[in-house]
Amino acid sequence: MSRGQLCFYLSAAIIFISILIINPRIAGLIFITLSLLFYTCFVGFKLLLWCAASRGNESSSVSAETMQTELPVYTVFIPLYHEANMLPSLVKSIGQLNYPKDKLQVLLLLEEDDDETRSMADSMNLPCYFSQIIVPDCKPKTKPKALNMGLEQAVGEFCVIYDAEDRPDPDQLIKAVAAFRSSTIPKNVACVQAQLSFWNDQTNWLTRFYWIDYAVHFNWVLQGLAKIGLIPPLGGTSNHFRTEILWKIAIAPDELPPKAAGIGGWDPYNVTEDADLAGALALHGYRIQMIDSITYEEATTQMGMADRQRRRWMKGYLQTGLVYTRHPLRSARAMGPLRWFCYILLMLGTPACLLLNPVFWGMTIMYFTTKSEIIASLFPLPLYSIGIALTILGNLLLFYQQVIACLKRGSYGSVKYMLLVPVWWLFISYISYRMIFELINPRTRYIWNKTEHGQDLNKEATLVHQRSI
Amino acid sequence: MKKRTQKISRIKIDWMTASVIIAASMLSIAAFLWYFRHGLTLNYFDTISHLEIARRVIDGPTKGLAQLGAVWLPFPHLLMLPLIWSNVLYFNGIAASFFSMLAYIIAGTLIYKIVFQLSGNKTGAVAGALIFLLNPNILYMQSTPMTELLLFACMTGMVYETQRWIQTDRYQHLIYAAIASVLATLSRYESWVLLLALSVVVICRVFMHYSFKKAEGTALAFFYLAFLGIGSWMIWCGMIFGNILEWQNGDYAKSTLWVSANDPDIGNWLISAKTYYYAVVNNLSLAIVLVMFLGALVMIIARKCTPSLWPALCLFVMIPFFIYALESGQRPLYVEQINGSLYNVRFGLLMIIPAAVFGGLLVSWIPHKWWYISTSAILAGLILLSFIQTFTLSAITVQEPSSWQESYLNKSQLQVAEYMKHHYHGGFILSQSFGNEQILFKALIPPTHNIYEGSYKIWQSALKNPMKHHVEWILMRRNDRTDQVYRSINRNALSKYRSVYQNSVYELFER
Repeated sequence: MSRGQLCFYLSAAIIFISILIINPRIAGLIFITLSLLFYTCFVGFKLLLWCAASRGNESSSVSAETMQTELPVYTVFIPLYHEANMLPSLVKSIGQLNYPKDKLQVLLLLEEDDDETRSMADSMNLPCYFSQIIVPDCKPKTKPKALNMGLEQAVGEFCVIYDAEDRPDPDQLIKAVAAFRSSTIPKNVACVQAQLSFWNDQTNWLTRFYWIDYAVHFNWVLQGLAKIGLIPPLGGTSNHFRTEILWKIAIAPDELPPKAAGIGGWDPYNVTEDADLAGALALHGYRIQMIDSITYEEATTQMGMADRQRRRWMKGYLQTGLVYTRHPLRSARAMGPLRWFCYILLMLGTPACLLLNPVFWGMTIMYFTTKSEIIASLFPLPLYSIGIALTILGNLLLFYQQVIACLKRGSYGSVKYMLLVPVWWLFISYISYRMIFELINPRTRYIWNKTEHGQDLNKEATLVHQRSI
Repeated sequence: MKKRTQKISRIKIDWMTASVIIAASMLSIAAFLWYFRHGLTLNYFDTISHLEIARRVIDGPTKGLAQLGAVWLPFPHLLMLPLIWSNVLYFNGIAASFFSMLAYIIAGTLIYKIVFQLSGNKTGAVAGALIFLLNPNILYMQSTPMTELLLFACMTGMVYETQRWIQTDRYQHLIYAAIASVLATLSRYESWVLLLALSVVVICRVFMHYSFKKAEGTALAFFYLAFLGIGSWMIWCGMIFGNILEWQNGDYAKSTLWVSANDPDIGNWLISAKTYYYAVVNNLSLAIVLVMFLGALVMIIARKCTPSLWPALCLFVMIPFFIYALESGQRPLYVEQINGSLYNVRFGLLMIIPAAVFGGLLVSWIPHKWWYISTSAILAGLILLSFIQTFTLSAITVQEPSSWQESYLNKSQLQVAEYMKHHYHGGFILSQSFGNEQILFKALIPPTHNIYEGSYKIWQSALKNPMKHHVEWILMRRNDRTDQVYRSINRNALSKYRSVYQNSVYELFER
């Protein structure tokens, strides 16, 4: 946070607390009004994206033969940390990529202190297009720091990130090249993002909600943002870049960790470097598009792991939002005011919404059970009407969007689990509150809550096979 | 440039559907103007209740969404909100009639589409639409703020989208059917029965057609949304009145308020069936009723009752429902042939949708060489009946409320209204709304200063101490214990008011 931001937020807090002390009702009214205004914008924005995404989906199917002769060198970054168990299946799925192997550069980004994964990589007979890069053991211990090290060694015209548990569509690299070369895609498109989905959606209720969240996020939110020319915050993997553009927009070397500088394509201190990079690309006038290709991942099956992962995502969104509001006018001018506003709305709005939800649900339940005059006094008729409409319509639409996602993507077994949506929403709101404490504490601010994978590997083969059928 | 022209050429205009919409719009406006000119659009007492409820949401001492509730379902009143604020549109009823007219156009168009999608025959589809559009009772009801047309539009939407889902297997249609169900179930209670019938269709279809998992997921996705209207209505009643069944057993919902103990329908299935039959015939004409049953029979036999026909067949569920409602004394319905008077005879009008659909299907089934003769005959008959009943103001739904206008109570109410129209000069009015709805409305007094039984925070307090609430006027039915003001007003407080007007039924006090 910059000094200006700090002053702004502190002054706002002081003014609000002063009003709260002098006249609590006015303070309450201000809080309710601003919250409802925010909800209206946020829910309206989500619906707009849903509509935009639903307009004619073009699917891109590219035959390998037509592209083979003119394919460029492609760099694949695979950051690994304590993921030795994932290496065999990873090598296999990369080997299945429908791309000439002599034009493939696969960089395994291994951490210096991760002996286990390094020994596993050494012991395996890795194909010749694989090479290893050792990331020095220094702070911050984040994925973007490893990516920056990899970027320094990248020789491909295009590059992509895959995580250890990723199972990309075999044609994905070809589709990405085809998209970059397509005459219908604007020349300033620097990145194409493939969709992410989970192959273990039916393991338990948690993986089902992960699956549904991704289906909504990639099918409608990111797709909608891309279609109307806004800034889709990138998914953590399967984002394909023009390598030279990453070099062009790189962060200055003096802002990178001295021992592991590399080339600063990604902000090494940001825990959602993907969302941050989307903003950086937009700041430099570049755009992002979606491609019709899916990478399957493994959803975490444990609550504790989900807690850690979601905390990181929310923390990263807040970090990113704060970064791009450091110089709001400058950022808005560079990105375009509307694009900037929508990007910030998504970055700050997503955690804000999760933080506000329990407050409003609590007030609603309290009001209708106790008929409290205090709560009633905070909702004069216009606010009350908007609040009721948002509570009913907003929650209903977002709930039903998830049901439709199940139908659209054929996960019929998950529909009955939608009755647990309130539990899921409460859970991610609870995580968001925990995230706030993590962000406030300077010692935990940049901690990368690593998600362990491989909890559900035994089911993978069968499920991928079923899906392909 | 090339791209743009390509896009334009891709948009297909269905000229026949467009023609149905245009014809329906013209008929709608013409009928409205006719009945409006004759001052008949607000003849049903319920029309005024609907307008008042909607207006009280935005205007009144306890305005707000909490004004919605109890017996009347809220969707019609929510729809009126964008227009109801205008005194002109409120007092002439257009704020609500506008939506009835819109619903008429939608229902007519959807009937055309239902028949066309079932038969692939435009002549039959047009005939079906005309059976609906030219019905003189429909033409009258669509000119009024009554909620029937809104129900018909939603019901045709439910049937059409369920039918399209069966025909195309696209889940989107099922979602649209569920949306139509939400709107229908928040418009009138009859739709709850249709929803149950359609739910059976959905369950049968998914379990006969899909794997278990897909069937379960698809059916649940439909039920989550389709029953949301009913569920949320009950929750709403629970939150506002503390009784989720307020709409069914609340103070103003008890069937004993309307159904007389001597009603010949009660406990007699045959009379109940006869009563409903006469109500249907009075609304549709015998010829159309015969066409409806013949059409349904022919379709069941000729089409072997294919699944795509199931949703339309569900519309017949209204017959046993109404017979049961009459037999069990849940609903009153009087017809001349049984009771010698008219009351709620419009319940029979519900059968116009199956009549239009199966009439249209019958026309489409008739061999080609007979088309022109049969359709011309039906069309000529419809137009003739429609014109005669419309121009002579003899449609049964026009007759029913017109007969009330001559009643003793109505005349008394109009007398009070006339007095208040000339003497009211501001200030709060304390009166019971139930049973006296039209007095303030006819006096052209908006509910801004009306304290009534729905003024939940101040009603009881105002009855005890009217002056504390700045009540300037008190209106009550004399010697009538069903009038809460008469029954519960603090007599000491009342002594501080002087009686300024009275007739044989009402007494009005002013401070």
